[in-house]
Amino acid sequence: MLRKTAFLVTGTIAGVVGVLSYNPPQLDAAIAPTGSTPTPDTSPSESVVASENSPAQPTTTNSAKPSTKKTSTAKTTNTNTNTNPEPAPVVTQSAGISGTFKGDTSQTRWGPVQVQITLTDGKITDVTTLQYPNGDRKSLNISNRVIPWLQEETLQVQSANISGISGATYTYFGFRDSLASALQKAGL
Amino acid sequence: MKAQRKRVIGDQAFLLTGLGLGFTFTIQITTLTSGDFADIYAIITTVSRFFALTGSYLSIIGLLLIARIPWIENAMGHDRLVVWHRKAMPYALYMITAHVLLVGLGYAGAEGKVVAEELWYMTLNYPWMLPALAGFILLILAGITSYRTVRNKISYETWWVIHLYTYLGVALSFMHQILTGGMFIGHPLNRAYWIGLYISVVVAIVTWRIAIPTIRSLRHGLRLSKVEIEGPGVVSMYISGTDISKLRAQGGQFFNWRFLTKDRWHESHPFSLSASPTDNELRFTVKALGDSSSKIAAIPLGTRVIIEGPYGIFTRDMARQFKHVTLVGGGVGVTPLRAIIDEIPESTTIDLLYRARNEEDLVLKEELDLLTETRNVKVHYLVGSRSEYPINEFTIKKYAPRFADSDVYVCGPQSLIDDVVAASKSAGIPKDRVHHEAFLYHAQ
Repeated sequence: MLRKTAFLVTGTIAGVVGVLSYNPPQLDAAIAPTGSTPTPDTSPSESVVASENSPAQPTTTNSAKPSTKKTSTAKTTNTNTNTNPEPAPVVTQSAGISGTFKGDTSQTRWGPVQVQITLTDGKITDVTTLQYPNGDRKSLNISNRVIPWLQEETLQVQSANISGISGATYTYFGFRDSLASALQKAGL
Repeated sequence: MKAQRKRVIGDQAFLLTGLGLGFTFTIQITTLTSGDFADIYAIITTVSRFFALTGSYLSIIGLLLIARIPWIENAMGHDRLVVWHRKAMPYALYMITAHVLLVGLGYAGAEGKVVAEELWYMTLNYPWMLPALAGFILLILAGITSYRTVRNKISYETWWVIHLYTYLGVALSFMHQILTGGMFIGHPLNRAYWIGLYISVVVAIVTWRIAIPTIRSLRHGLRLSKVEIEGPGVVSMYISGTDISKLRAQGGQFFNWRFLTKDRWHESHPFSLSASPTDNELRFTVKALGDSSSKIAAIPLGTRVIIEGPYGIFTRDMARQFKHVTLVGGGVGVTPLRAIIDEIPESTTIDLLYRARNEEDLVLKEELDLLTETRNVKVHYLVGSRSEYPINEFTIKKYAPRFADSDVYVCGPQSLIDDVVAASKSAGIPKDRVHHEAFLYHAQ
């Protein structure tokens, strides 16, 4: 039995070490691989939740410290469209719809959620979260963790039919509803 | 299979199990974010996920242990696999229960709600959570009915049917893991690993517990051909068919037997062969203890039989030599020994010590007595209480003077096995010459 336990433990250690040496944990990189990050909406809007006090944005860098507000604002320019408040569809000659569409603000228990999508040729090519629960530290933490995943899910499934995520019941539903309305506005 | 090869396969199986456990840990470790440790509730949720993953992995291993995978069966022996299954599964269940409670606590804390309310909310609003809850209840039911005091109060059939539903339980809880688990969303490799794990279990169970037994039984055209009353409450069942030697069954092994009658097609029972198989006949002998064994004698002749097996490594092949063999049987546990005798060379001197509480419990006595006349076999009936015949080195040597030089086979209740193993040790018999199988597969 001792021998078997030894084999079992050896296997476990080999598995953990093997994977971790190839793919180390990145505690501070709660990132949507798409590069889009939840962005505070600074334009006039009916709700002003995303204020200056929403500094901790998920960041694409692996730096140990959470990025400051400045870098996250700089990130905004990363998204390939403007952050104009009004939907500004730019219909091109190609088959699908292109443009940026803002979803309705979805009120949740912990704050509003608003999603903006960018379509290129009828495909969702970018997702930005204009508002999200960030009123308290806990909400902010949850938002930082799950919004990138929700954005990535959206890009993957190309619809509002995204999966839920552990730990963020309200944010998930708010995100989904706002996304659905954005898609509706786009006529999809 | 040679002992050395068995050992290598066993080691590999354990290494692989460990490797899988390592991967299971890492799919969580690599997807942790700082948010997972943001506050006490986030930590609770993180711990809950650890329990979910580890518990699920353990339950998958538990299912593989009883999936009748031939290499594993031959390397470890079925009875050991079942023992491990029994040891592992309660822990899987504890961990999954911990997951349910802790995730409720973690979420409820983060959202400022009551745990029960939060659990109910999650069940209704997350994808596949209602099935997951149903699956969890099915697993809990199987756990409770396997708990010794409960198990003793219910029939084998009830226990078996409830146990069968655990497959459904595991399946039902699968989707909520894949769709809501933080380690799977956005991590296709993790998802692939986890799906692969579950698929391999499904394939193993379908192949070795369903497809192969069915195909084999039909191909050999197995049917019940004869029922013989051996004594009060003891019956021998004869199953005939064609080309049975192709099953490569040996004395000492057992099959799971399933009789296709209207009311019992859904249940199967493990019984050892009580005679070495011939090319057209298998035989097992049951003592009618349970509610089913007594009815088993009433099955009409000609009934189609579906078998799973042969299983078990308690065979003549385990012997290191064939000069002397000492067999110790307890009660109905003598039946596989009877079958093993058929396959031991005629030149071997055999002492069979047969423990039974009273005369009526002696199974196959006539046959054994006949063997003493035709073969080099001595049968010693030790009928009485355990204090009358304590099984130790001294007692065994009294009846089997060459005990210390022999290979030892013991089949019976665990206490008997423990006694004989201890006696063999004190007689200086090396471990690899002592072969045993727990009694639980040979009687109801």
